[in-house]
Amino acid sequence: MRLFIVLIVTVFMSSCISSNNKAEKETAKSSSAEYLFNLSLHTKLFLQELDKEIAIQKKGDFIPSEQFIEKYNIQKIGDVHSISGFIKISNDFKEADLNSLNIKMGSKAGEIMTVIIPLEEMNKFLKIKGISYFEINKKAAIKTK
Amino acid sequence: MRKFIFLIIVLVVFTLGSNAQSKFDKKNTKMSQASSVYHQASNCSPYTALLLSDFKLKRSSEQMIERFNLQKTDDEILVGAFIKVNNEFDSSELEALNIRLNTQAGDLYTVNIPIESIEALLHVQGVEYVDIAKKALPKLNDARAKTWVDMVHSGTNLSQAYTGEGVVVGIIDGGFDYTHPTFYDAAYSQYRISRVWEQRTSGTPPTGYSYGHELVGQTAILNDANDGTDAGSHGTHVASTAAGSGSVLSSTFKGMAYESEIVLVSGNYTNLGIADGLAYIFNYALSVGKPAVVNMSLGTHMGPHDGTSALDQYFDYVSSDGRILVGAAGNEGGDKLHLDYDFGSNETIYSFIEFPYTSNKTNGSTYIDIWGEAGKDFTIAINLYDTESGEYESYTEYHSTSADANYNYNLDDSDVGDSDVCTVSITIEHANANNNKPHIYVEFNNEDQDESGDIYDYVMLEVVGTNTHIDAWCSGAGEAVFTDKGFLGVLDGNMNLTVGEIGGTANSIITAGAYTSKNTYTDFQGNNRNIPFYVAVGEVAPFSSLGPTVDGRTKPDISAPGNVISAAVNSFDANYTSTGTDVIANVNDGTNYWWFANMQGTSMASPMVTGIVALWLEADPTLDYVEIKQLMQANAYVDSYTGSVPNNTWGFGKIDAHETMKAIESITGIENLDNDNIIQIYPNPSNGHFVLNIDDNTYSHLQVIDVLGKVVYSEELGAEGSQKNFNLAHLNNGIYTLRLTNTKYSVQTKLLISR
Repeated sequence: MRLFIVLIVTVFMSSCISSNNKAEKETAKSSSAEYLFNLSLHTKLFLQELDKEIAIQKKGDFIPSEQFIEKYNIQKIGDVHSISGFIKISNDFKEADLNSLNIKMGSKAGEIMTVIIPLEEMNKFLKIKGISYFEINKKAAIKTK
Repeated sequence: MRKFIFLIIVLVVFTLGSNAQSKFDKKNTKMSQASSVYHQASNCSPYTALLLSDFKLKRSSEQMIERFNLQKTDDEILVGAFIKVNNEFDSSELEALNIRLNTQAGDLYTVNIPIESIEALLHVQGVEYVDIAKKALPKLNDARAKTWVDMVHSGTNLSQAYTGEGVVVGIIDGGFDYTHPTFYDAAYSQYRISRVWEQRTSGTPPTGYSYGHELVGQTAILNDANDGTDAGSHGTHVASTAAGSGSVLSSTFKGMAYESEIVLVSGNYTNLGIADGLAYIFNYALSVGKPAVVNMSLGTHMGPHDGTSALDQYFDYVSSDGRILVGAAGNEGGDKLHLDYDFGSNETIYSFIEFPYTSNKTNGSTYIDIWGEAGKDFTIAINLYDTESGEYESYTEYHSTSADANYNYNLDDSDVGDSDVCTVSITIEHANANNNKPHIYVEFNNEDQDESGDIYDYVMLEVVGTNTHIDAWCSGAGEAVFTDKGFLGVLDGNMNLTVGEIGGTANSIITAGAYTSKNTYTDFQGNNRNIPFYVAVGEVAPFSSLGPTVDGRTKPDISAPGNVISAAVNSFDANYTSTGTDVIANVNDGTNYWWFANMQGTSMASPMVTGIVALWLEADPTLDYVEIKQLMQANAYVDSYTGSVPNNTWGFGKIDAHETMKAIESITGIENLDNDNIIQIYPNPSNGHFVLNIDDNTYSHLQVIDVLGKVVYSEELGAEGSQKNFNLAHLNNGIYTLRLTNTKYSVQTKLLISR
């Protein structure tokens, strides 16, 4: 019986690969955002979903969906929806560039700095010189069994 | 000044056996009278009287065995007891009752008594008192004893007692009860929490930060009372274990560094909040001139698990002399959430993804994170596969890591008239910026899939590679695992490399695994219970995550009690009441009650280590993580459970606070003398070849001492001048004390050999 199942699996694994599938590919494009420095994978995913969020907004101020806020730990600093993350800076980095976009700087450890970026300034942030890498925050879970 | 009079609400074992009688309840009065017959008549303890009462009432032997922790043999039930005797005692009378004498200490004996002989024992001439053995409880004192922390607290064979005084213990967590008496000193006079940063609360952020609310000083912190009634009790328990005093129940619920200064960060449960919280605690410690150790009982399986993530780099930077990080290894040691494979030429592998156990295992939402080798691309596809019919119902295209991309799919199953959709998002990075590895992150939402009836449509990962290696992680315990579903040719998941990001993978973090320090307990109602994850005392906790890291470092670093720990919980958490099965005891001020309860997890082992590190930092505030890891390794306790160490279950073994402290004292006892640049070593660290500069040639006797205090090299330098080359390449990697003495003084410095 087990051998029979194995055979079935093997046959279908090889045969089905070439057959037509019903998968509906929704999109295969990255975010439209242009950036001057490296981004983490999750940051790229975030930017792509941010594009979608913005696209479905009607006129008026941008308000991200609850799902988006939950998924990416979007913080509200004052009245401004913002995303937190780590940046790696290089020698030509200028704090003034972040200040001009109302980006909040937090802790600094060597070349790594924590920042909170207003979502509405994201495209401008991605073009700042003196940054080599940006990674948005990730969720952490408690470790009680 | 408030004058709280704490009433110790003792465990039911004491309550039932106490002399106090209720004035309000006839039933209680009757019970008390029945017990007192034996107590007054024969000078037995109340607990012994209770056992006799049960025996007379013909309770079932199973009930009594469980309740009184009796020993059952093939043909009898034995009761362990202490007896006190006088000059009239004749041991031969006990032999006639088949009572076995064990240990004698003066007029006290330990004995084993057949249960039917207890009453007769009370009438044996010369027996003044009988006290049957009481069941031990899973309090923090068990964990303290298992780690030899009590000996450090008492200063046994040490130059002084260590309590954590002068050290900042930082806790990044959530679910804090700031009012719990355990956060005062044991006399309930000195409040010990200095700062709180509530990252999820709007208000006044700490200086330099733009979010959250800072509480400074006793009044502000106590007025706030807690960090949210929905936050649970995790943080209170963790902080209590690391640094609680236990309040008036100090002897049983005292934490590790019970006189340390406490700083709490009620986190926003992100890695960035952790990074900022860490800086906040270290900056505070710097401002008060104290060393600090920070506990992070948090984690995730999203990441490379190789120490290269941004947060791990951050950790490595901020960790320094007197700035130590401790984290929980994770609770996924029993979950097959890891998948790895070494590919030959153009090989394809398959593995099913089993969704949460609470669902029918085919539906839910989760993610997998797949990492390859730098410079070697691989390809994946996601399939919906019917394990009953053996048919693919739907699948994605193949996607390679050769270029950054994102693809989103709706995969339909083939149910006629009832097709369901599994959304799949595949995000690819060709080369991760931190480690150059190809990386694919896949999110699934299969919540509509086959919620009833058909449980055969499984999500299947397919990976194609050539001469490369991949590691993949599901999201973790209770969420998703890899499985072969019993199919040959399909890969099963494994439990290796389940030590998580945040708590476990940085070079600088001290990662704590958990072992079992107690497996039975009596709850507040007096019910004897087994712990939820029952294994033998001394055995590793079945959930404790396993190493190594992807880059081959042994993890966890050390193991500590974590299955189970009884410590303070949040009085604002409605889950803890007197009837809770994991509630053990409380303290109260006549109006308010604060509870102590059991929790298990590497979350609990981590603060054990954190508090112990605080004790070590009290002895030497300059210790760094390299030194601490070496000291732990040299002095860890090893037994038949740990096996040969280091290994990826136990790390260096079981933490031994006392032996390590002795080693620290052997070094720092002399180091307190000011070197004042009399000795200079370069390079330091070295590979064993180094140059010694001596600024005072009266120092002629050289000793090199290892972390155990053993002299591993010595030499009379004579009058050879102020500079000398040394070759100690035969010594193992590690920290050594290099001591120079003359006729009056000695000076010393540290030498680090690292290859």
